[in-house]
Amino acid sequence: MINELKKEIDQAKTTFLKEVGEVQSQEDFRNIKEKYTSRKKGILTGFLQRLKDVPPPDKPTAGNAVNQLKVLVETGLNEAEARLTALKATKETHVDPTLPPFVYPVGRAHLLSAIRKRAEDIFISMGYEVAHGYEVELEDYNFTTLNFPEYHPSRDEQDTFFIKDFPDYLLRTHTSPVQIRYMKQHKPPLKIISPGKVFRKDDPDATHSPVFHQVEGLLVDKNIHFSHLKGTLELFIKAFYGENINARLRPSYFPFTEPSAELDISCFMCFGKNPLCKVCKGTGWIEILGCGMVHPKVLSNCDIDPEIYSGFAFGMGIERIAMLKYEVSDMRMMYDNDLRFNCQFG
Amino acid sequence: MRLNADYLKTFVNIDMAAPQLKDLLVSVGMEVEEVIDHNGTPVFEIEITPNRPDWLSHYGVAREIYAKQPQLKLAPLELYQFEKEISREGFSLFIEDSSDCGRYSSCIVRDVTVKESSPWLKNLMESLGLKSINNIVDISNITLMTLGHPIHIFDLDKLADGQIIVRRGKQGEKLVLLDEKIVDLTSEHLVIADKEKSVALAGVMGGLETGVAAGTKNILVESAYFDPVRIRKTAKQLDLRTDASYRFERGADILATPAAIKIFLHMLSQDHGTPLNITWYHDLFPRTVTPQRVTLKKDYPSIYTGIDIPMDICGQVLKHLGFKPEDQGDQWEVEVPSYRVDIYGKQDLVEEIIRIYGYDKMESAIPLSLNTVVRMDKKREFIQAAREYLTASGLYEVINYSFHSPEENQRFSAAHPQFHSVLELKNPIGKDFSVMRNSLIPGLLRNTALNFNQSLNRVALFEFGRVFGIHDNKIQEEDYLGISASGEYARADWQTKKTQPFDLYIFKSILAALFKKLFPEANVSFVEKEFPFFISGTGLTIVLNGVQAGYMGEITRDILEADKIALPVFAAEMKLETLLQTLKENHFSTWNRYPSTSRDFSFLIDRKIKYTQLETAIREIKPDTLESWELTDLYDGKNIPPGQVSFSMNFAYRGKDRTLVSDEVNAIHIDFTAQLSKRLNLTRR
Ligand SMILES: [Zn+2]
Repeated sequence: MINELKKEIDQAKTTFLKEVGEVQSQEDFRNIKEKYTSRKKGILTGFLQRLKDVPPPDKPTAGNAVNQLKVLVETGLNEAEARLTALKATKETHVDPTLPPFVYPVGRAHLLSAIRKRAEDIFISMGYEVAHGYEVELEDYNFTTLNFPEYHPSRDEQDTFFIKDFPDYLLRTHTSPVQIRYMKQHKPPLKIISPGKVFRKDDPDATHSPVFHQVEGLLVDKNIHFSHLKGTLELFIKAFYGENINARLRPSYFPFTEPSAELDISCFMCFGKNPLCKVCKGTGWIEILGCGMVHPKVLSNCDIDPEIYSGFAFGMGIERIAMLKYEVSDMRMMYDNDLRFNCQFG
Repeated sequence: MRLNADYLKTFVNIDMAAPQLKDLLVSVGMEVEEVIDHNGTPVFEIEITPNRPDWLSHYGVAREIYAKQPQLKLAPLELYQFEKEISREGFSLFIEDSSDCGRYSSCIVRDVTVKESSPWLKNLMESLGLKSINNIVDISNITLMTLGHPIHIFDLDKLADGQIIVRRGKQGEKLVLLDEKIVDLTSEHLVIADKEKSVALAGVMGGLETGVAAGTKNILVESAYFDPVRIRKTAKQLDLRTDASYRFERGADILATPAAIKIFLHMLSQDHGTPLNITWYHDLFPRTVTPQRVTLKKDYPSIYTGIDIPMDICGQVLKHLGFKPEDQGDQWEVEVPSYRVDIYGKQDLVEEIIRIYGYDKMESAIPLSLNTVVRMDKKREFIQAAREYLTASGLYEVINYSFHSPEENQRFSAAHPQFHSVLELKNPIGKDFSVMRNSLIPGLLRNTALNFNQSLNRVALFEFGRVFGIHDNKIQEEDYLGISASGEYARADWQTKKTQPFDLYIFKSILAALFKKLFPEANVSFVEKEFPFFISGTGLTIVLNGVQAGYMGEITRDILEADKIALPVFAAEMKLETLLQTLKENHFSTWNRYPSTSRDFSFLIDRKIKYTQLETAIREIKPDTLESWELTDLYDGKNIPPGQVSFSMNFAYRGKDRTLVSDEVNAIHIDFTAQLSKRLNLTRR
């Protein structure tokens, strides 16, 4: 009898495992739970009742077998319930990977910083050192040492802010005084750029600003000539605007260079093909920077012998470069700091 | 200056359409601003650089065109020929100081007719943008436009007693100018005077009283050379700028004074259609003039330009430009014409040669020069790292003017006690921009106001820039980083459903993260301090490795109202130099391999005890194994006794050389929190 009971219990185990594995719904679950654990008609109850008829010496063995089945059924049902709950949870959470992303705030560098960095990076890659100076400068370093004679109209070209109670000082009108300070402190060969803020007494309008930025450059060594200037600037503009951009020089005048030139680049917008081009006004050329061979007086003012050394210098306005590159129509936008403008660059 | 193409062609026989002529002018260094059509004649508006006063005339430009195209013919100037020796008697000239006036050429013409200008003259005047007055005044103006040398015409009969004196103005002396402006003269001004009074501001403008008018019969023509510096000082001081002063201050041609008179006389006789009744002429030339000479090695133009320019071309170009190069074997001794006041050295001559030879023939070469020391720009690297962090944190970079209003300066004067006083501009563009900024915050506030006005909800900004002030009577400028934030920190989205505005703690956290990124090894602390521009109790000094580097806080309502900002604004400012000094190379350090165990501690603490005081106490009594701690909750609501606040903290323990077992940690934690509680009178919750 005991053997028969054990056989039936083993069979029940196998059947239960099969059935519990097939549970797919709450209904399945209720059915199987009812079938095995119902107090009145459940299979487990059935086995427990039959234990009464087992002879005493076999009772522990039989009880153990029924108990094993009970543990198995409880565990199996728990697992099935958990599986059903999990199934339910997945089904009820709304998952839609196409929902819009959250708007994380994104900041940007100022357009002028971005252009300045790009220009600096190009010159640094060509071996130039970045030099800095003062924004409130000695009039001497801003003008006289740079060969602007006192009382000469060349000073009018750069309307100047002066400082109250400090007659020797002004707001630098260009970053050239940085070059003067550098030349006074270092011996050639020297190769620097001087980026920074400069000031001219202009009322703000679409093309003028009392505050603007420049990147100027200087190279002094033995045997430097005018073709070196053109070659260097060509490297720069091709790196900055693209390899298909060409450069041309036009005669000009700056007190601190001789010969002096303006550098024009071929129009990156229309390549000279659009007579109505807004960027080059149909000429095919854009004026981009001033340059020249360092005036011998400037070298000797900085204790560099112009009979031994020569050099070139150049300077460009960052605002102008930015306005041309991005077709910004009004220079004042650069200083309004309206984030609808600032968010577009950098 | 305006250039009439037809008039230009009377001096040089150039046969060229306007666009080609424009290109030619540009190629030699003139800036052509505009080409105007004047009754079918092209008129060029050109910008002349201040070194080339010789270009401020039609003949000067014609000379340049001839040099560029020497196959053309440069016509000689049409000068009036005196029929006989003219008397120097009956009128006298006197120059007080020949350094003010190097030459004074003058003549008297009697029986002239003042009338409306001829149609030809009127048309030419109009094309050059000049207002026609009468034939005599107009001819004097055309003389200027022809040769570039200013002349002046007096009504002889209005001059007292047969004498012209070139002298300085006298204190108290007044002069009514042609434009009816009354000038108070000083000894800084150079004047033309008769025996009694000054009659013209030399080289700038004539007097009203002695000018040519409808009834004028007899005239005195003045063609002089005045010192450029003296004319500039006079014109600048009186804020006058005339065609005459413009030319004199750039440097006139001292040898051109007789020619200018003779051009005028030639045109006047043509206009009158009769020979002129010239009764007196005198060319007073007290200064001796020697031509400028420059030595030029023949191979120097090629060496200095880096391109091969044939030597014979160099010599020819110089000749065509009016220079006289004397061949001395391997060099030239070059005599500079008197109208070229800009030529001093060999580099000047190289520019002349390549200007004409053609800048377009320049080649490109790469210099191989290298700095002997490569110095990295640490400040630049730092700024870039900070900029990257700040933009990645959602802040926008701004750039403001370096000057602002005295009020803005006043509000933030406590920011920089090192600045004893304000750096003021002598000639600002307006009162709102009249002082150099002593802080970046006013600019950030202005930008914040503007953006809130444009309906933006989140305005988080930073600026790298200089601030200025005076320290011990010396000008100081220092680089700063300014940061501000206002409005939404995080906006509500469909998941969080809640907008988080910027507050003091978020702002402080942004700064703390910036320092953590840039100064991984620095000891950063925020120390309470009152600032007049921060709401009391919100100000903090930022201390890096024991050095004050800046400050942060919440801007006061008063200041925000001045800028019309409704929302709270949090702002900070840091000195770059101090930050840079703290910036050190960080080092590798190994980490503890034993596991860390943490325990929570919740307690009530007296409101008056600041978190920094709590931290100080923790530091002082902490066991060796306490590695770090964190404030995990702060509760200030229901069920908290008055005057207290509830903190929950998490303390992490770790053994230096072994794993701590649970019971050990419990014992350490209980002992430590008991000590801490006793010290600060905490109540465990
Ligand atoms: Zn174009």
